[in-house]
Amino acid sequence: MGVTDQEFEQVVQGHYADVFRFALSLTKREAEACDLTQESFYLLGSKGRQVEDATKLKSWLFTTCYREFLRDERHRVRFPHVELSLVENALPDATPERVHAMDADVLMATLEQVDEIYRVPVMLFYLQGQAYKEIAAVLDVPLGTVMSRLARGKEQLRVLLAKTLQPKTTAAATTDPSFRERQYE
Amino acid sequence: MNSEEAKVLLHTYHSGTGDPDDPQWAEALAQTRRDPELLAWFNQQRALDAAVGDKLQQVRPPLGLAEKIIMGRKARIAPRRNRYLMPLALAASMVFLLSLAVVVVEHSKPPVTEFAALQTDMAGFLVQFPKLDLASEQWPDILRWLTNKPALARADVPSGLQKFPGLGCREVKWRGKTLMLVCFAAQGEVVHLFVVPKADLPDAPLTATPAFASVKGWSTASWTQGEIAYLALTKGNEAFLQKLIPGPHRG
Repeated sequence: MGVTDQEFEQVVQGHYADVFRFALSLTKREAEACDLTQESFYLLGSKGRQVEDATKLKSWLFTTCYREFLRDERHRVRFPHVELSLVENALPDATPERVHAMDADVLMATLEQVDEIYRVPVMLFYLQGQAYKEIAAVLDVPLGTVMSRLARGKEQLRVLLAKTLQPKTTAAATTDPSFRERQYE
Repeated sequence: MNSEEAKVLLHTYHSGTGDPDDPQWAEALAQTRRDPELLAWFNQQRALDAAVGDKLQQVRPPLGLAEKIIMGRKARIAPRRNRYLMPLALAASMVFLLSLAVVVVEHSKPPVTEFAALQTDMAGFLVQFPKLDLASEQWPDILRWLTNKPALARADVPSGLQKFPGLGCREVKWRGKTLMLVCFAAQGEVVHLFVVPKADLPDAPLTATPAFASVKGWSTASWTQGEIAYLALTKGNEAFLQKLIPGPHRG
């Protein structure tokens, strides 16, 4: 076996929460996210010798988690994109103060609405805390692609957050027929 | 670089992770000094990023997940040593000693066809529980391992069988062919399922309806599905196997 029990436990305790959060953003279901997290760590346990640089462990776990997710074709459904331009100006700003005040699960639910192609780099950006070069390595895409996906994803998140944070009394504004509501699940 | 181009780059900014020697960064940051609106946007975006990052850390994994991961690994490293392998090894040894004479006599009778030879040889091979290449009770692991073999990329195990806990799988070399063996436990019996490309066994049963037989004290079922031939062996009786693998509608 690649890593000792003690090493393995240390790695699990250090990273399992972030890997779970990333997995949850991919699967949108807690049970599947748990399975995906468990599988990622199992693969680390069995291939640990290939991950000798401890500083790259987190990237390795995210990469493995993402690739395991992609193995399952069921998840490769493309959802319709939000038409940002139609909703952007009608909504209040998503300010840091409002984000601080919101429930963490609501934030996660909002992130899950970002299109998958953008959501993955956005989650890596927030969870991995590393530069876009590492994100490019996880996704195996060029740097320019990461930059544009990250920018679009964060912009999409900002709009979705604004919509989520919108006071209920003004919710009627979103009934405008020009607003293209997303259909999830 | 204009302000819109700078925005794309600045979106990737993480405090402490920017490369100060990267001329693109320097240019984007210089642009914020020239464009107050961009600077305001950048400051707001960084504050928003920090808020989102902090809030995400408040998303709690389910209680016990870390322990489950740690225990799960231990279970996979030494799966079923106590529950299955040891008792099975003892039982197999007893069976082997008691039936040695019978086995030797029956070995002297040459099988008529290659498929019949396969059944006979595998019945002999399984007298002792085989060492597994992959020990896992998780069907996704077993199926992944199975379909990673180029010739078996389209192989499947009837979903009706996948409701039982897996034991693991291994390769078996036989007459220059590579067979895949999947083992699982069903209602107290161990079932061994050989999965073979049909092309390797020209005289395997052609029908999707299982043919049942008894070979050297083993109940067997054999059938073909697409390009794959299957051979199941168990110490359970034929009725048990028929219930387990009822027909083409199985799974």
